[in-house]
Formats: sequence, structure tokens, C-alpha cells
Amino acid sequence: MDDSTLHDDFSGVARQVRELAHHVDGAQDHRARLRNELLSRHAALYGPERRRASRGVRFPTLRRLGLLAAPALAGAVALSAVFWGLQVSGHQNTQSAEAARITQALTQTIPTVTAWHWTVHETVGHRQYVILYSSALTSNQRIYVRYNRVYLYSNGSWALAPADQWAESGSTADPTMGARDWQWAFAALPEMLQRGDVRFLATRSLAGHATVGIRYSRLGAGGVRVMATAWVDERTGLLVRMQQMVTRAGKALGSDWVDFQFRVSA
Amino acid sequence: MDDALSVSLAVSADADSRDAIIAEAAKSDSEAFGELYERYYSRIYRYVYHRVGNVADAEDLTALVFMKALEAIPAYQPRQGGFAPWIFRIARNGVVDYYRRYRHVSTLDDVNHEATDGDPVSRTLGLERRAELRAMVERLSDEQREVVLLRYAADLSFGEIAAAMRKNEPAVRMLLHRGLRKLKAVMDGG
Repeated sequence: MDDSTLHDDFSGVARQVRELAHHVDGAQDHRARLRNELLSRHAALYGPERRRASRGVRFPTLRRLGLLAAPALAGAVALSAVFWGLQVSGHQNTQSAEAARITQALTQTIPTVTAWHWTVHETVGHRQYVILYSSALTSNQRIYVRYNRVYLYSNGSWALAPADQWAESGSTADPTMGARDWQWAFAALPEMLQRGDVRFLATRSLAGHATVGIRYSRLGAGGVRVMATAWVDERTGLLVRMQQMVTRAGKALGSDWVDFQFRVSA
Repeated sequence: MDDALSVSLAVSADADSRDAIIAEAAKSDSEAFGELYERYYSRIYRYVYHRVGNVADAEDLTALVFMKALEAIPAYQPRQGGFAPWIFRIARNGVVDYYRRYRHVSTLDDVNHEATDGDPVSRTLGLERRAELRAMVERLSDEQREVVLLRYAADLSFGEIAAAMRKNEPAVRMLLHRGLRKLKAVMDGG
């Protein structure tokens, strides 16, 4: 480094600052661990193993268990009443702390998940559908939270859980979710919490869980706006209920809610 | 890495070209990415550490910088500047984002995070030296601090700092000069 242009008086200062600045280095275990994770991720993304990984990483398949009912619009009306929870008038600091707490809980809980069921309550026009789905990991699959994203580890390969459509901010062509898209909705939560453009709602009890509401909105093409609320178990960070309401120019186009149940290993 | 790349590496004299070639290889070769990682880990870590002031956040941010670099490496174009400015732009953005998100959140200090590292005397001395630098650079303006840390913690050249900060080189030299003048005044007890 050439500091020859510096005045002599400042060369001494520069030397001292450099010496102080260099008096720090990352821990060896962090350095080694991060390197391993990066190389694994690189191999999965770009390396010669990419094709093998994309073939090898088999995401748990979606299994439709059945159509339960097709009740009338009354359900949707009831939904709209519960959809708008009380917003916590929380300070940014409180919200950040809550987001960090939930992320930490998720990081610990997600690796224990072995299967999950979800029930989609979908309202389109005047009809409402209730559909059950399930998904299970195989014995050599695990899901983990790394760098605020959920990854599926399968047969020695890593793959990002396909939850980007939930986590992405900004305008998308179609920000609404179809029945199949709900499968990985829970996986978007860590990244969503990091972004900070969410609002926390007052806690409530849902299906026996003490939950906290996390709300965000997305604007799509044609002025379609989706307001979504994730009700998350306060203790485990897992999603208990996800709700979305689709509007255009203030007029409701449809609404859905999905109840999740997770099976975790002991 | 293939033979052609090895030859190129052998004849490339300056670090810029070498990094650019390795970065090109790193788009498909994980070992090449590993080499970039080894070349930049300490520099990124030092820069980030002196910006955020604690080990836990510095480790998280360093990891984030390299993860983002890994995801963005296919789009890296050497002609748009060297690799060092490119990855330090990612690091700078990471730090800015960190302050935007966590500016109200207090963090644990290093005494808590490093309670088991090294012997107590050297640990205390290390903490004191880091605190000493932190206290000094906090007296600088944002841009002066940025230039000083990119220069002396990250070991970037003036040209690389200029590219990372999207400024011209004379402006960077001026910022450094003023920063050092202020630091000298602090050291002299001013």
C-alpha cells in the first residue's frame, strides 16, 4: 500500500491505525465453518454437481388429501371479521426484538419438523373451498434455517426452500397465492422478518396456540394488493395460520386462510 | 481450475487481474470461490468488525457478505471494476442495512462474546486496542471513517476505495488526509 503522498506527520498516524485495525481477525472455527457452507452452497448452485443436486434434491411432494366442503360465503364474511387483528402500536425497537426472538425460535424448531398438514380455506366469488394437503420429509431429509432462509438438506445436498414468492418485496405479476403455493409459506418467515416491513399484531389464541400476528402487504400488477397475516406460535415460531385478502381499488376480490399443523421429532 | 486458467494466473502480475480471473472461474468452480474467500475473509471481517464493533454481528455480517457474493457472482463483470470494490460494495451495503435495521437494538459487547477466548490478559489487551480504535474513528465523519477503514482495515488501494465508494480518487485521498489529520489531533489529545 502506497501512502507516500501522506505528510510524514500522518504516516505515523496511518501506521498506528493500520496496526490497531489489524489487531482483529475472525475466529478460526467461524472461518472454517463458513467456508464449508459456502462451498456446499456453491456446488449446489453452480458446480458440476448442480445437475446432480437438482435431480437429487427431491422436495417433499404435495399430497392432496381431499376436498372437505364447499360452504357458502358466510365463512368468508366471518373471516373478514377475524382478519383485521388489533395492531400493536409497537416501537420499532420492540418489533425488531420480537422479530429476532421469533427467528431464533424458528431456527431451533425448523430442524425438528418431519411433516406438515395444511388446510386451505379459499374463497373465490361466492364459493368457498376447503382443501386438505400434506407433505412429509423422508428419513434423509431435514430443513434448516441459515442466513434467514430455509434450506432443505437431502442426501448431502442443499436446496433453498421454494418460498421466494412470499419473501420477495416489491411488485410482482401475481402476488396472490394458489393452493399449492401454501406448502412452503412457513419457510418465508425468517427472511420476511429480516426485511422489517412487517407489522406485529396483538397476540391471540388460535387452535390452542398462543400466537402473534405478523402482517405485510404486496402490490401486484393491475393494482392488485394482497394483505397477508401470518399467525405464528410464540414459542416455536411455526406458522399456525396464514391469511390473505386480495383487493383492487379497495374492493375485495377474494380471501383465503390456511391452517398449518406440524409434526416434529422429539 | 483448468490448465488455461492456471497459465493465466501464472502470467498475471497484479492482484486485480488475478482476482478477476479467479472470480470468473468462481462462477462455476467452487474451489476458485474458496480461494477468493480465503483472500478476502480477513479483510471483510476486519472492515465489518470495526464498523459494527462486536464479534457476533461481525461474524453474521461477514457470512452475509459472502453469501450475497456467492449469489451475485454470476453477474460479476470485471470490466465494471475490480473484484475488491465489488465485494466491498456488498459489505458496505450490508453494514448500512445493519444500521438501518438494528440502530435501536443494543448488542452484547465483546466481553460477553469472547469470554472463553485466549488468556485473560491478552484478551483484555485485545479488547482495549479495539476499543481504542473504535473510539478514535467514531470522531470522524461517516465518509472519513469509511475511507480510513477501507484503507487500513481492508487494505484497499485508493483506486479500489474510489470504485467501492463510487467517488474519484482525489476525493478519496482528500477524505483520508482529513481523517488522518483529525485522528492525529485525537491521538495528540486534541
